[in-house]
Amino acid sequence: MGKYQLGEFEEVVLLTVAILYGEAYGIAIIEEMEKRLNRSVSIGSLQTVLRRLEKKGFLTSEFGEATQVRGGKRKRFFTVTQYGRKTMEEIKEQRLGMWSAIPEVAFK
Amino acid sequence: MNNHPPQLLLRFFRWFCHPDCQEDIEGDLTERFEKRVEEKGAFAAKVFFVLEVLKLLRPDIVRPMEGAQRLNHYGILKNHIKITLRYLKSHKAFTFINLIGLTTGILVCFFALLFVEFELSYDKYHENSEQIYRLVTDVQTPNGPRLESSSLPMAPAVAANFPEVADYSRVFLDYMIVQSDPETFMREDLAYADASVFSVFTLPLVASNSATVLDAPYDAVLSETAATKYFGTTDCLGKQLTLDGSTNVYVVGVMKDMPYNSHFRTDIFLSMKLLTEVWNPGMKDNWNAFGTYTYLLLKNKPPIASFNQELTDFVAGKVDKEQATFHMSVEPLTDLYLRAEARGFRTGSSVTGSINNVYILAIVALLVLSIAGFNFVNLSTALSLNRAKEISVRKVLGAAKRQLLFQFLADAVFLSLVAFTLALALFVLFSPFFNQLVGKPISTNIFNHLGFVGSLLALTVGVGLLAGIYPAFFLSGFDPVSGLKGKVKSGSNGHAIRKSLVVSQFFFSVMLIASTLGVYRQLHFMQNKELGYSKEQKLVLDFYMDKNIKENEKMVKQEILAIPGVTAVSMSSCVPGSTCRRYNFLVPGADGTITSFVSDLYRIDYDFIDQYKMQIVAGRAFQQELQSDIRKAIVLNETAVRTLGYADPAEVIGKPFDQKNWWKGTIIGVVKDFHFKSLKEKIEPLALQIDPSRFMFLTLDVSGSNMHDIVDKLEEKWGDFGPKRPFSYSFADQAYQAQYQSEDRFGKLVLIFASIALMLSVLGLLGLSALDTQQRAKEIGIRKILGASPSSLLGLLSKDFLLLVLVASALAVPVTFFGLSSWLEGFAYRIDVAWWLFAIAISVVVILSIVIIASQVLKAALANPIHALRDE
Repeated sequence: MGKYQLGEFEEVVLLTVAILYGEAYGIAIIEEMEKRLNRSVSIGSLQTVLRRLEKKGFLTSEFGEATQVRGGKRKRFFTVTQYGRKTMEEIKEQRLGMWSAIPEVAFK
Repeated sequence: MNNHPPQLLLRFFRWFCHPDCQEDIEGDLTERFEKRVEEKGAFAAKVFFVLEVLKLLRPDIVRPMEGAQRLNHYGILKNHIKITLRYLKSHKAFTFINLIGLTTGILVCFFALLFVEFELSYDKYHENSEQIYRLVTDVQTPNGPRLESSSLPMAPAVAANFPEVADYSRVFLDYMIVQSDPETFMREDLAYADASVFSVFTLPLVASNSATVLDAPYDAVLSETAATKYFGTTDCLGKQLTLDGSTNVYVVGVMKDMPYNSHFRTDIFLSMKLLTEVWNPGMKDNWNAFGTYTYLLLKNKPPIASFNQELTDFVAGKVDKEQATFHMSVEPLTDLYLRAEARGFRTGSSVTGSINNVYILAIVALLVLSIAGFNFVNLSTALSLNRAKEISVRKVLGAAKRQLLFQFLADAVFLSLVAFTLALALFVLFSPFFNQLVGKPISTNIFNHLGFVGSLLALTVGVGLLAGIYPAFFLSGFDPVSGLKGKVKSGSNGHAIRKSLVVSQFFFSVMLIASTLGVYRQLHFMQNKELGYSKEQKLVLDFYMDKNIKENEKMVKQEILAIPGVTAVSMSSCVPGSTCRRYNFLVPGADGTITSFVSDLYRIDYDFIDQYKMQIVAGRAFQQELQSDIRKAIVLNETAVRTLGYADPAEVIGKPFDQKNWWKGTIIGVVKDFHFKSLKEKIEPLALQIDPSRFMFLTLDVSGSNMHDIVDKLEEKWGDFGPKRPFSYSFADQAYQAQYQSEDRFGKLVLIFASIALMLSVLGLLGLSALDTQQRAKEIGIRKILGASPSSLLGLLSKDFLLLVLVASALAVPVTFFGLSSWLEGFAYRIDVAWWLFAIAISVVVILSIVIIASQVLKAALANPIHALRDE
């Protein structure tokens, strides 16, 4: 079992970064999340979580090339680390295990 | 359309954001903003932008407090503080001496500066203080100048004739018996004043029942204190007070208490009209009856010199000149307390301070502070050996000189701040004591002086910096190689500075001790000088010209003489030490011309001269059998005779006198000069006359030990005599001493400051000699092994210090001589500055130094040399 319990928002962010493989920078992540989950996300809340995940070792990041748009500032692209991938899989298995343990009568 | 993100917010973001993530987040913000502009328009985008930036204010994103760049400095600072604390802990004696020194120095400065500030603040609280001037008269008479205030008709006439005078107010100080009920009576100092006193001066009324208080003759205005004293409440408008048992006045206003920094203070204002229209109508038009203070409110300040001349010319046409010339002048209100004469009158006087004493105290306080500062410098540099290794290591590790300078300066400032805090606590503790010492409520609450405390804090930091700057340069200048090899000689290059600082400390000490001795000698001299009359065992009763007593003179005297222990009794209008009315006399002078002279006049009875043991040097005393001796004969003192130009007192006997507007008669005797006023003033002409109608004082000679019984019996009889007067008595010698109260206070202050200065110098010397012996322990050990005796070691080690003390003393003598002589010039009768004042001061300092040095040196000289020599 993982020593670190991921929060719901953290989990979603990790998943989004994985989905956007190679293109995961701040605004892209926000837009993806807003599109898929139909909820609004502020830069502040996302960035805090990204930094935290990076500090814990779930994510790494590197700067991209500077472009004309966004005031000439570089983007920071995030990728999921090996450790991050393992944690995500663990969570997924735990959830699936729990789903399958539900007796069928429960939802009748 | 403007589609740039708001720059101010962006700058704010850049300021607070952690530098690691600043670039990409800023990019995100901009990108999002640009998209929003397209989707929702510029305004909505801007609103969102604001929200986004604010939401970024989170712990993970905001930069840490100390900033990524300064992390290193913070560390070294922590290290500095740690080392400083360790250093202070390991040199307890040094820390103690420095802390004590700085704390006392700052404390003394607190009090002295507070005192100075208070003395300088007199009368400045009036809104018009810059425009108010007091009108005064210098009267040039044949027997010297006389300084008077002004007479009642001057103010209205001057105001009517000089357009510069916007307003005026007259104040007449007096004292009277005041009653709010028939049973209790108290003597009160009070003042008659024009209604304008409340508009010329800033004296806020807390309650009044008319717009123009004091306009009617029977108006009275009380201070809050007086209102509470008489009526128990400040809500007392319309209530009645009885003056001198006969006249009723009514309270029309209650004012705030007059501040203590006022050159005159009163708790009761009566209407000037009570004096000029009811009690003494003649006074209103008498240009020669001085005693009223006149204050002029001058519009756009005229040139004072020519204004004075115009005033003199104007008044010259009005006064009765009686062979005297009148010089009018105006004095600025703010100078009255410190730079002007009191110009008092028999019934009351404004108060004056001494600007010299203010300067002296300020200087003394600064001397004490510098002695403390010098201690700091001396001990820090002397201790440098112990820090040489630390400094060298720091230098080897790359510390710049600048950083070391900062470290040592910070040490000094830190210590002075600790001292400041201690001083502040002690200040609160000692405030009541100080107020009592100076006799004024100078410091009531520290929080009333916050601005003042702020400036003292600045002063403290300044002292810390000044005291730290030399040690800082000295310590940071070490050569690291020799420091690490242990070759640095203890402050060898700081020697000259240390020596000169020790010299100045002892210079100050000798100066202060000798001055204190001088001040106390003068006080002792004044309190014990042979005055030419007897003031011992005399009880003086003031009966305020009570009719019952005055008219029953014989009966009262018999009754009082019947009290066991009372050996003599007399009545008079004045007693030595009290202020007395002055009159003009015309007498034929030695050259035959009629000479006018102004003289104090004592109205006495037949027993007075004997009782006060005055000596008749020519002619005779008054005789009861001669009817012509009542009022028509006078006895003069020697000074009066000299003023008239006679060499021999006998020549004046039998000459006629003309007391203008009063009596004519013959001079029958001359009394030997005696000091009927304070020794600060020269003896002036005096005339004695028999006149029972003017008696105010009873003088009793008392003997025996049971004074308490006598006073009790007297008070009983007092009730029987039936005066509606308080029973108030004083002892003649005590009343005499009271004249020197301000000198006495000044002496005490100087004594305290001087002792503190001496204590600090001695502490500093103690520290220095302790360090010196400690650092020469090996030398002493070797000398002992080679056969030196403790006494020769003592001589060797104390020689240096003693030489310094002697040099300091030699330098202090001329300076003190000059200072003390000029202080003494303020006294008409004074001591000589004797050589032995300095001898005592110098021996005190030398003996103390020897004791201190010996205590340190002997400890080392008597110790077993093996202890000093065994390591290495």
